[in-house]
Amino acid sequence: MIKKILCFCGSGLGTSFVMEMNVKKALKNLGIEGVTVDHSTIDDVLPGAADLFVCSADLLPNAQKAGKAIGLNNMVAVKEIQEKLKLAFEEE
Amino acid sequence: MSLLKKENVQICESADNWRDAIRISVRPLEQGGYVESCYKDGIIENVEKLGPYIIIADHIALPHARPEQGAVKTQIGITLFRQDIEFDGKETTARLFVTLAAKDNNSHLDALVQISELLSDEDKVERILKAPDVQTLYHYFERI
Repeated sequence: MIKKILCFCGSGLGTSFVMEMNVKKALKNLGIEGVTVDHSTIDDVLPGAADLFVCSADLLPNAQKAGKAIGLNNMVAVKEIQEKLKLAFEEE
Repeated sequence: MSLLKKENVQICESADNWRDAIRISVRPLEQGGYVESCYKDGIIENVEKLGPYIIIADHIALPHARPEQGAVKTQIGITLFRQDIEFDGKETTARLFVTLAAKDNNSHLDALVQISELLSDEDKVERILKAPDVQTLYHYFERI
């Protein structure tokens, strides 16, 4: 079960926050409730820190070392985020 | 409280490379005392280490670093390049640089909500990229 999503970038305050905001929008559009979404830096990306990590496509290999992850090309495109989240939730 | 001032909005023809583009995009914030001179190096270092995660969408970069890397006061600068800036190892190029200086983890979040909202509208982005002058460019971001 995905209960906690952590969005991250290198500095934990710009890109990661934009992703958090749009992940929340995407979850709402998908009708998924009861999931916490947070943002942080790559230093917090550790196994067990979240059920799903979300990051820019460049950082995906780093995230996959810590667990299930999705990489985004466009972090303001709710549509892309929604499609990738849907797949991630369906796999569970 | 507005986090964007007109003097921090600029239009440039091009840059030698992405590092140069970041230096140019940070310059107004540096001149205004919002960041220390090491801030641009912090951004460049982060990108060298982790890749261009500051490209948040086609044509759009959000250069930023940690508060402890030299951000003094929270502020935003906008730089529009007429030519595409390429980043190593990334197909996506950027022309609109929304440079962020955040003095802590929270003071810039409201502005980012609005910026993200604005930039998720592709038609709007098309128009922003074609802004003929600084006044027009500023106008798109005025409410931030």
